[in-house]
Amino acid sequence: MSGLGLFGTLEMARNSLASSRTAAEVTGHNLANASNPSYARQRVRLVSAPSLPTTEGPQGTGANVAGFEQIRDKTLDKYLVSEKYLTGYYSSKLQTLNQAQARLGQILDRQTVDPKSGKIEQTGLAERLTDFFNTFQSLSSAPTSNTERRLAVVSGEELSDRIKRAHDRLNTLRTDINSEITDSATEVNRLLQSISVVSQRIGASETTETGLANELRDTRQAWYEELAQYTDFNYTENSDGQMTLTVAGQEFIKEDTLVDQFQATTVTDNPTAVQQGMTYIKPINKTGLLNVTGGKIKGLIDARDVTIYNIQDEINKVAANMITEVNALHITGFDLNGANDNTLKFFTGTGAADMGVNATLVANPQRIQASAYASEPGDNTVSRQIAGLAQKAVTNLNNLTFNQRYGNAVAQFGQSIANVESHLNAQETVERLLLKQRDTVSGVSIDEEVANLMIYQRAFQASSRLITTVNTMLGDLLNMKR
Amino acid sequence: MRVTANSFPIDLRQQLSSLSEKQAKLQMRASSGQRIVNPSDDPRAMHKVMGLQEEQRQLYQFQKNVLNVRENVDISYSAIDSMKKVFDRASEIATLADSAKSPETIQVYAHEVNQLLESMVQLSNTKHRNVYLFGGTKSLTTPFSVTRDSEKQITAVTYNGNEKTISVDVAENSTVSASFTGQGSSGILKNNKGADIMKHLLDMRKLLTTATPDDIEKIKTEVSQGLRNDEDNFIDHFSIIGATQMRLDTSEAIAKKRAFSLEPLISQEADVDLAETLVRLNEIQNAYVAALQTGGTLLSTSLLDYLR
Repeated sequence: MSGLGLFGTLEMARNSLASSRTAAEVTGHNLANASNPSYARQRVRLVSAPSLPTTEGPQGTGANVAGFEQIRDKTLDKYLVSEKYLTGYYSSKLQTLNQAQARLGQILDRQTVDPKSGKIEQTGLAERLTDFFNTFQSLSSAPTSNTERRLAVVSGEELSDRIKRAHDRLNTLRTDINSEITDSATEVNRLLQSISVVSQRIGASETTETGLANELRDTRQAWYEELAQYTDFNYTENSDGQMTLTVAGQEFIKEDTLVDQFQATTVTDNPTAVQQGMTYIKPINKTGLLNVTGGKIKGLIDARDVTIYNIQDEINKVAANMITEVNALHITGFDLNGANDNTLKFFTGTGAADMGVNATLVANPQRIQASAYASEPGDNTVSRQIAGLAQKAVTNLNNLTFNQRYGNAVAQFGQSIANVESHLNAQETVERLLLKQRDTVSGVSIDEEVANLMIYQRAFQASSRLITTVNTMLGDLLNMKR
Repeated sequence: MRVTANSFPIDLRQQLSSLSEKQAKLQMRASSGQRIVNPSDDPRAMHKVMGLQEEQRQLYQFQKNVLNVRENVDISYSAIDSMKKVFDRASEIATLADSAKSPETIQVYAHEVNQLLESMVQLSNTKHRNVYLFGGTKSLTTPFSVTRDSEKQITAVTYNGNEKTISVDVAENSTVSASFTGQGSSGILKNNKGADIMKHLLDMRKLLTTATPDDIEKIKTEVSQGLRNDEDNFIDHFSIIGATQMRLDTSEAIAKKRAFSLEPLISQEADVDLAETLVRLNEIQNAYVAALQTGGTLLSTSLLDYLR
């Protein structure tokens, strides 16, 4: 009689018990990680045990656990990493630009009413520009009035303060962004170190043991996705499973070994105006800036060097031309005493950073040179000309008025933010869909696992029953000879 | 499609977050009454509103200019009206003085004309808010100064102002003359058409003082002719002031109307349709509550509830 025999059957039942128990353990592992977002479900790969040749033909000898399979779509994983660069980019850019918008302070408020005028009172730069020209209009209707002269000085001070504050706040923001870029570089280095270490452990584990190091790969994938939020990168595995990671074509991890890191730096070799004092990223072991194209770092740099710089530059242009145009008229005029001082400018400074009203005029508004003629204090020619600058198409502002130029800059700035917000919304939708897709492939379904558990439980029970049955049969056999 | 342990809660979380964000936005709009607050809310609308508000502020300024000019014009009119009254009495005296009157009466007239001259000089140096109204653009200098004899009688009146006036903007590309001159082609007291009230009063006083029959005759001819020119000048200025006041009223009314008409345009861009916003807010709130209720039901159900 060929075949397994009773003892062989016992052995087969024992293996079956072990397989069912292992399968139940894997199911338990899946259930334990059901809420772990970076976990990819696993399943046991059961294969038939080698068959036993018998005179009746090959006979099956049960099942064995061949390995543990991780259900993961690598293409989806890589796609998700690339989408995270974009999400990180738009998210950081939007956050930064919203801060810039708040600091610019050009809001629409239709609730606050000025108790003096009964009109809606707003405190943005656009309103201060109009008010400045309006005070000179008032002065032109009462050129010898000390009150109107004082108001003209105060209005000039308010305008200067407003411009300087906007400039300074945006400057401070650009400096704060430098700190954030430096912090992001530190974070990137931490992640690169972690990815390198875990890659080495994956290599060691998969060399010495059979099967893939599923948990370590899950961890590494989570770190890839975290790194992608900061910067774009590419990663490949060679035939030995060693991973190489590059950013903008530069190697940072080569065959699992960390070879370079991010370093925050400034441009010292002929920096452009926008680069002056600003922080960028370079590889520690190489010269030249690193040209990242995605992620939070790129988002911060673009927000700082493009959008925020542009609005700052526009404000500066408006301020610089305002100073030039007003002063050019003021130095030609005569004050209340009939005197002309052709060095007495109304505004001091050259741009938004240092704009102010001449201290001489602040101390003595009578010296505002509003008349065009000596000994004619009642003349309003110069004050009318200054008021008329509100409608003047300024050559250096592309033939726009001051308010038009500023209004265009604000609209463009707002449109940039709106565009980023729109892109971010679309990007978040794409990322969510991808996450959902990945979850349908790799995620743990409790219902599914519990159903599987029941299967493995029954299989275990069946194998136990087989052992009991074979044991009884053995007993019967032994009892045949007393 | 596999639905995993994380799928549904993640979806629910995202939906609740999205609905909460929409609720917050709608609630902000309903409470502020504004559709846009920041430039990024609607850049095109913000740009338009900024332009309209700039225009509105300029129109308010034009109204303010009108007020300032009107104040000066009204005060000037009051002074000129008083001058006219002085002139009317001088003109009366010129008519009354004849050879039939007694020398004592003529002397009384002379004395009265002297007082009228003093009043005229005083009125010609009228100030308002520390600014002389009839000195042209030399508005801080006393327009008319006098020379007196040993008896402190005025012997000469000198004009120290100039013949320039200032223009003030009362609308876009529209100005109005906002000051007066004592002397000049448009002078209140002396022009180039024979009006010179100070000289005529001085001449009349002199002729009434000496009071020969020839002097009396000169009053009837030369001085009276001069006074007629003065009267024409005063009447001209009353017309000019009347026309100026009408222009000011018209400019003010136009500026007010335009500023008012800009408000609906601003509102159209900036303000929220409250009814629509409240209806939408109600819809979102209902969706939020429904999401919570269904989420709560589904989250708590699984196969584990049915296994013994």
